[in-house]
Amino acid sequence: MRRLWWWFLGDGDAAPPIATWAPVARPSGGNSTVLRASTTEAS
Amino acid sequence: MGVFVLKLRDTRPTLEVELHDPAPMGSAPGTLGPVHDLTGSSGWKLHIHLEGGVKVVRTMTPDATLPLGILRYTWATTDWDAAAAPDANGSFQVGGLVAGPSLPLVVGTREHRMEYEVVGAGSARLTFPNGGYDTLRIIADIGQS
Repeated sequence: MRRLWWWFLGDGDAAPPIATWAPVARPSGGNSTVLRASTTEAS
Repeated sequence: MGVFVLKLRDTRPTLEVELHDPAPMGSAPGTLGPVHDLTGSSGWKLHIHLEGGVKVVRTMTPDATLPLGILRYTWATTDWDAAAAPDANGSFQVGGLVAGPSLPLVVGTREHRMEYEVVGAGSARLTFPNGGYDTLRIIADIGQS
């Protein structure tokens, strides 16, 4: 999930970034795989 | 997620998958976690959801060195047979890879979803990967003698 932060400029304001994507929640790592072709037979 | 490529009706190469547990907290995105030790596990299944909706299931074989976390499945000629009656979960345990409308006998590519299920110690059930699916890409052959 990401949150979009907006800044609105007023007169005389310093110029901030127009928009910044900031992660607010990082999913925990899950189970993963390394898949490959093999010449070893399943027995 | 990984991709495994197979030509229609081929029985090699063997599918081999190395299972990994989640990476430790604070790891950089994309970091592989430690290998999943299969010691004490008792069930290893390959689940394939064909593009057309047909599901097949096969029993995989762990490497003799269980801490390596490696499962293999060697395709059989019967995998390409018409599917028999589905099991209670609606999956075909024999045949089925040609049963669905997703595998026409024309040159082309079809992609299917795969996952691997392990029943571990204490009846713990784990699925790899659990954030998506691996892909089985079956490419129709031009001819076969």
